[in-house]
Amino acid sequence: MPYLHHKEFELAWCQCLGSYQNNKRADTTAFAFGSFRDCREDTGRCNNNVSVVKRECCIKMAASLSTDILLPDATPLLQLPKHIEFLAKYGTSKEDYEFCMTEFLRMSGMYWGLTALDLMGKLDSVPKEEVIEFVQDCFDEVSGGFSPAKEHDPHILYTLSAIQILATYDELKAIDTTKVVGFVQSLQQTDGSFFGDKWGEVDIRFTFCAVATLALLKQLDAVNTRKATDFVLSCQNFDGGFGSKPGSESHAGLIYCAVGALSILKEVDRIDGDLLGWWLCERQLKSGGFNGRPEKLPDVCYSWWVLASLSILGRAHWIDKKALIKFILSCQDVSTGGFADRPGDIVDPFHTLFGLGALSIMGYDGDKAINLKKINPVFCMSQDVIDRLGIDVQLP
Amino acid sequence: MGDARDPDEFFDLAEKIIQNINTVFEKDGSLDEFDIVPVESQSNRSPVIHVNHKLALESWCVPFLYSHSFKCFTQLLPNRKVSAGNHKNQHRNGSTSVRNGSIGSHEGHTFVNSRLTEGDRTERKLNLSRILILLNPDLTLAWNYRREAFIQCCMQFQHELHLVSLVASRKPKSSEVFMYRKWLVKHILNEDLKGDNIEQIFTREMQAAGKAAEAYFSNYHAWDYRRWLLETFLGGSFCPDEFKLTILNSEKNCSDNWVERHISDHSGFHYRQKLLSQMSLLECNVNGVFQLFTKELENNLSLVMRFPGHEALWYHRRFLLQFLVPKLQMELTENLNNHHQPMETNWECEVWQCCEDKIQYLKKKEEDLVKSILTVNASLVDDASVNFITKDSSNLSILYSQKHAKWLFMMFEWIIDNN
Repeated sequence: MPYLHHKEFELAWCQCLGSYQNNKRADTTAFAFGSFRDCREDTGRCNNNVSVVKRECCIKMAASLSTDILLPDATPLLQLPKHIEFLAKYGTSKEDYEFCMTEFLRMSGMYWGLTALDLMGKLDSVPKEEVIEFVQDCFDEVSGGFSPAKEHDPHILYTLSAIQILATYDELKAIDTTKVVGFVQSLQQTDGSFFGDKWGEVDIRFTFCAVATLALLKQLDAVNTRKATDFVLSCQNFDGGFGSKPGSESHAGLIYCAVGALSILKEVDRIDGDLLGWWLCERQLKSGGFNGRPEKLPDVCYSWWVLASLSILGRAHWIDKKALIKFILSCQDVSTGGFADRPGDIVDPFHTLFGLGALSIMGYDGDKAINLKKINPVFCMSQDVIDRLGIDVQLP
Repeated sequence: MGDARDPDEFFDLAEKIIQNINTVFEKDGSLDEFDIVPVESQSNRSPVIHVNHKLALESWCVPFLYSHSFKCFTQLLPNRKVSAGNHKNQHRNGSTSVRNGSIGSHEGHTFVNSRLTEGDRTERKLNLSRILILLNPDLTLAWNYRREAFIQCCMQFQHELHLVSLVASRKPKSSEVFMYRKWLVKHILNEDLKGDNIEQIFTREMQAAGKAAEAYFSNYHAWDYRRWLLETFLGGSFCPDEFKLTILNSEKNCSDNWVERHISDHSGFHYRQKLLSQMSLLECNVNGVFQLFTKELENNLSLVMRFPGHEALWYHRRFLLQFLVPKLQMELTENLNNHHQPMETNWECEVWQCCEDKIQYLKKKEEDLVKSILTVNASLVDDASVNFITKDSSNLSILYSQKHAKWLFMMFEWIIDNN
């Protein structure tokens, strides 16, 4: 085996260095990095040569630590029956440690699972009465907001999830919605932004949650929509993207919140769709998957955040659809059902909804036995629910 | 949790561990790291490890310690959640039976809690919420309790920040950690502060943000917190002017150092962009801004050439050009608009010419960059003796420089041959 030339080695080293910073996931990395550092020191001493063993180590490392991933050779088919089984069973063993640790977001977890089931036409695989009772139990009569679970504090994040669940079931009458409207109103600030709860953190996510909640309740006029729009626009950066507040870094998930809110507010025309669309398309990597920011690894959930935003901007056709479908399908766990962030990782309802959602936007129809319903790119709910409620958003 | 142990034993063990943890916090005010170490089966010794100002828990105790602490903690919170017409509330019946039943039962906890005085209750809630945020920093409920207690002056600002750092040492990317930090600092800045206090707070907070940024790649919340600090201190009337200059200089040095070592960290570059924008405000004319930004473009060029295939470097370049070129163009049109008649004096001609020259200079630089990358890398990609890693980064370099050429056309209509 030929020895690595010094200059090549320098290049390989630079590549690894960058990659190492990107990805500290595997424990083996530290070990590999240690060996690699020895290897670099060697080049200093021997000038042109490094040992074959160490060279191999460095090449392996570079491959495993790149900013993208390699997909498995075979792409599985869409396993809808498995996903239904996975979601219907999720959380049935309530003493499970993981389930206990994630109680702080239970309401959103239920929304992810139920919406995914609804997209597959299987909402009835979960007992509806229990769900409605859970949502009612999480309603805080005093503030008018919903908490993620019974013992927790109300927050706008879980208020939107609760309203989405009730809207999906056509059960908005199950709670006093005037109180919910009051809660959302109470969170708006003079600059148009929204607090998430009484503790005063501001985030563009909360703006999305606030306007989406009001839109589902058909009470958008209850807040100052002109100022809300101004706040969203003030979060835009030079690259066309949006961050969590004015001056924050652009991030695909937060871009979705901005574009979604503007769609509800019917102000999408106030952003430069070409510039933002360009940035969003650059999130697609060679593997077909999307990352959320430059030089981050791809993740199934960004398939949704990016594609839904592009779809609202009328530019969904700018991406490589075939490659994205392949990436999403590869993230399924064919034995347990469900989707993970990346192939081989642990599945959860969050990635399952966003994987299915992105497939639905692309009109993917892999399994003829069960069809995926059409999804609304703004609310991330079945289009038939939005139609039934008669909600109008700005779409191309 | 699949342990066939007697529930009584669970209860006692959890209480004992909580006691051990409290003792560590009492004894050692300089804890600088917390973690959970994977140890599957228990031995006879305590799962609480305290070595050299580091605190760790053995993983086997975490599931039941967490659920026990959570149940005891929520028991002590005021009874807020009485759902309308549905007064189930079965776990607040003040049962006197001692620790019966499984982990799912609350009655044992009620018994322990009911013996406590008001002061004891607060202390216990603080201790329990401390364990909860260490084990699960996403638990908003526990952070919220600490906010309430802080307002009621139950704990010290410095101690609280120290605890937040300890939580961040295990979960550096937790958003709750930085939300709470910001909340605390905002709170304290509203109070009357003396000069050295302000410097102390600033330095310590910057260090905390830096540590978290170092521990997790492209750490959104850590960098956003740092940006918030920068803008709050530079814009705040509480901060003396001379200290504002010190801040800019020290942050610039920090960022110079960071960028050299983290060429892929888009968040770090975003912060640098905010810093450069702030520095440009200190320049009195467009010439000064031009010098500041061309120097940065030079640095960026050197990084792009030395580290091929790193997208974050190219994005930073876009920012620099998008900041500078429109400024020059504006200067140019302003000069034109001010002179409806042909420019007469030499001085006017010079200003105009100077801006035009600068734009042409920048355009030429971009042309050279794209061309040289394409030439250097094209030969590497075709060379059979070159290894695949080099080829990979060469291909990326070609891709990014071609995208850059397209971007230059989209933004400024500069046509650059990129084949």
